[in-house]
Amino acid sequence: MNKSEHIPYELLGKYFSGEASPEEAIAVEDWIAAAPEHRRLFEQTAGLWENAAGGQQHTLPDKAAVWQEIRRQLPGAAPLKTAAVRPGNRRLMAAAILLLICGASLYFLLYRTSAPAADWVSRQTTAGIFRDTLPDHSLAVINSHSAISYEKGLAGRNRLIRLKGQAWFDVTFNPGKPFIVEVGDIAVKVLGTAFNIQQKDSTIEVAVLNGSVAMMNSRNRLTVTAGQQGIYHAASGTFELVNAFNSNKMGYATRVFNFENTSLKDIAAQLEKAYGVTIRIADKKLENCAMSSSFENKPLDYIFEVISVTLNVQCRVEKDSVYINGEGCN
Amino acid sequence: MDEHLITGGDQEQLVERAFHLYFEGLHRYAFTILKDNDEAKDAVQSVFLKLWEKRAGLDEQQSVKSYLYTAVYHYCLNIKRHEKVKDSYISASSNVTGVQEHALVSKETYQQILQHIEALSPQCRIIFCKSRFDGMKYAEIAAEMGLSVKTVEVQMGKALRILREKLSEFLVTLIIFYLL
Repeated sequence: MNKSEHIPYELLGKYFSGEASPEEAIAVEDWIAAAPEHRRLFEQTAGLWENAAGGQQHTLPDKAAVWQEIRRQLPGAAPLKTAAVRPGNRRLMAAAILLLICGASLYFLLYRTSAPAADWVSRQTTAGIFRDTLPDHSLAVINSHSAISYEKGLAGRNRLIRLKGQAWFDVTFNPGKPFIVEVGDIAVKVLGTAFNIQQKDSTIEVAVLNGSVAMMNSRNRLTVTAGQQGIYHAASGTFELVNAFNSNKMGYATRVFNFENTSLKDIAAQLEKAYGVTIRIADKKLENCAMSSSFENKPLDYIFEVISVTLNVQCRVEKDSVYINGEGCN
Repeated sequence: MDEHLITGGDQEQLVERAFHLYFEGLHRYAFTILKDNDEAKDAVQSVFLKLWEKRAGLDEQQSVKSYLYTAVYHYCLNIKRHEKVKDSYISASSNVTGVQEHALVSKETYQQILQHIEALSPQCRIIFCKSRFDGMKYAEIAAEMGLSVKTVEVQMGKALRILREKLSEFLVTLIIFYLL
């Protein structure tokens, strides 16, 4: 993690001071883009720079709005074609740093021995998804064919949740009462964060959107921080850390999508889940039309407006159904 | 980098694709010079309007990216020049009062940062403060202290490295705390 020798501090110093030439600014952007780790380090250094004194902090304006404003001023430009929204996720980036969870292994031992068999509440899904606000006001979004159970009122010393399948959690901060998800033969412990757990046949994957969590079994533990994914291999009982994950995986819960050259068929499948609608595509040919765009918890109407102008289709939203037809892409 | 931009053929598409690719970096760059998000936005918009006017003259040899960055740079320097005439340093001095517009980090963190700045070696500290708090240009700092601009660059890099290493964990814990 600490590759300080690779951080171009002098270049960053010039950049933050407003002294960078255009070439140097490009060099900074290229460096940021070269690795997710670079972006994290950049955000950290930017945070330090900005917080050292008052004044404005950099905030990226709404991209789609800026583009529309530009288009309005263009003489003779064609009507709106595409829109993409990617607001600055400085806060997420800023959180992409380690929050050490001390004594996690100890907790593991403690809760293992003290897991009560008292009154338990269960939630199970079939085809749909279920959004559940837990007694501590944490949010659990349970994906299809999954189940969670927890002690009534989450009354124990820990907030203990048992999971089968896949679920998203947005956990209320309470350092005095750790939030622990037991899944398969491992436990995932958090202080307060948003993350996704997916139990597969031979692995359990934990993707963390912000904050950090610890995954542990009786022998090993792994800290997973924002932007990372921890993978547990059940056969070997080992953990693996991956520095990226596909955020669309959590789209069913977060409604945050980043489609890159994704087919309309796949987009529709993900939107159906996230918004609880049925999407009917009139023509098989349309299903393969692909587009790229980002949506961050946008209303359904907005998303389909973007889709219709981008792919040259008509979208009609009626209650819980969306009908798509038209000539479609090239 | 830009090859795939040009081959699209359609000039209008070229401008739009360039916007999607470079908007974030250009805005950030403009902000480092102007220290104002709205003005940075104006800079980016103006540069893309210029790119639009020029779109017919863009050929495959020309790097759209470097054109855009260069244009933003000159636009921002112009704005700065005008501002200096308008109100010499009012905005800059209001920047050093320590009023946080975004309460992302607490007063405590602010104190921590100041404390670590105090702990820097004297030359390093003075240079960092002149740049960060007084908004002085590298050339001005170099002239005032009788140093080369390169020395100022090196000392600024050193200050950032030391501060980031010392403060990273502290910053993080608090930032996460504020998120929750």
